[in-house]
Parts: sequence; structure tokens; C-alpha cells
Amino acid sequence: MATLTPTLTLAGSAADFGDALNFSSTKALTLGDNDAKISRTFAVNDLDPGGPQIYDAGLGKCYIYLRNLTDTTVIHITAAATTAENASWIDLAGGEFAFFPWAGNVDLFANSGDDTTGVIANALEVLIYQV
Amino acid sequence: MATLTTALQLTSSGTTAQHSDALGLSVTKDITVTSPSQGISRISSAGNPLGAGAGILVHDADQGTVGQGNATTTNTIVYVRHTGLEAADGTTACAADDYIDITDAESTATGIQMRMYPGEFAVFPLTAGDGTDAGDNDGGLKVTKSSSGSDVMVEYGWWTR
Repeated sequence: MATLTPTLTLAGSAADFGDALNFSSTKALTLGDNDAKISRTFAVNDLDPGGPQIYDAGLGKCYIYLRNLTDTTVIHITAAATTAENASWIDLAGGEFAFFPWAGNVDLFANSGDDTTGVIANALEVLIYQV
Repeated sequence: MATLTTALQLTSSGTTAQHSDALGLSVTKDITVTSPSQGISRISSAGNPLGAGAGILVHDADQGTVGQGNATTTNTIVYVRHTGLEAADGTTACAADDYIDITDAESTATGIQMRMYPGEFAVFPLTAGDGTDAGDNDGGLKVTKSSSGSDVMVEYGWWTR
């Protein structure tokens, strides 16, 4: 057995938000010994639709961490077989990240849409923890 | 305009946590946000905070107007957490299998498909939808309790990017 502990902090100044925002949430998540723990980086391409599959629904429920390693390229995350840019449900701007518990019934794909940037190596960091 | 500082730390313990080494990952990102926004809030999973329908936290184009958090026109930084508390009184712990599902506002089967059990949370930049119910991305965000479980308290917030 192992434990994965994600801790999220959201902060903002009183000048920006009226009251200062200083919020934190954490949860210890139990992982089984034989559960998949996957760490990968992906190149993304200016495809619309298309792009590499970053998660397969065959893994079942997983905790997924994504981070856009680029400075300015927006990376679109799409679900199921519809990988067009306008079908994305996450748009990761440069340096942004996401962490979420994926139910495990839909695949995930990534591309940079029709931005004409070509292939960008080491663009997307992906950690997947099966539960 | 305002600056929302988001930070995530992932740590692990146990010999099988991540390959043969423990995980110690920390990332921070300052994001420029604007109105409208929803500060950290709590509602029942059956709540209707926007008047757009039960459980809809961010609405789609045909469910409300700009100013309420219209995911069709703007991207939104979203935080959602299952508090693990019954909505009936807001204090009693719910059953361990009382999950909630997070989908787009139309519950599209091929779109967002998260499942949260008590204490679990998510943070992500939600893409603006394409504005049509039959489109590729219907947009918005909705929470739905499990079919056999109780309504639970959901903690959430969103900020227009």
C-alpha cells in the first residue's frame, strides 16, 4: 500500500479579492500495491483534431495530474474520440496545471489545436495513479 | 484584473508509491483572473446556485447570461471538492460510497467524466464550451449525486480567466 497526498493552495490579495484569499485543501489517497503509477511527458502537435492519447479508459478510475511545460502554447485536453480543439474541456495555458479524479470511462487526448506551432517536444507532463 | 496564485504539492509515502522513490512534486502558477467569479462556496449537490438547474455550478450558453459565469464565452479556473458531509444537516459524515459525478452542464457522456468520493477534489482550467447542446463541447459544469446515495455538501469556486 502507498499513500498519495495532494495539497492544493489558492491565494490572492485583499486588494484583488476584497478579502484576502488563503485557502488550502488536502486529501490522503490510498493506492494499491499493484495499481498503475505512470509518469510521462508528451510532445504535442498542432493537430485539430488529433494528438496523442494520454490516458486509456482501460485503467479505470485514476487520479490524473497534468502540467503544461511550455511558456505560451495552449494545450487542449479532449475526452473520448472527439479530439477537435473545440471539443476540449481543459485548456492548459503555459505553465498551468490540473489535478482531478477521472471516472475511468472516457479516454483523454492532447493537442495544441490549429496554432501552426508544429510539434513541441516535452510539452505536457502527465502523472496517472490508478485506484 | 486580479492575480490568483495556484499551488499544488504531490507527495507520496510507501515503497510502491512512485517507482522506487517517494514523490515530492510542487508547482505554482499565478493566473490573471477577472469577473465574474465565485469565491469558495458550499452548496448541496441538489442546489441550484445559478438558477440554471440542480447541481449546475457553471452554466452553458442556453442556461443563463454572461455575468453568472458563462462557460461558453470564457475559460474558468475551477475548484471542486466533495466535503464528505450529508446535505441533510451539513455535519454528518456521508457514506464512504456516496460519490458525486462531475460532468458538463448537459451531462454529456463523452465529455467531462470525473467521479469524486468523500474528501477528493479537483482543480482545472475549464474550457469555454461551443455554445450548442449538440456541439462537441456543450460547456458548463454540473455535479450529480450517485443514484443510490444521499445528497452531499460540495465545496467549489471558480474564477474567470
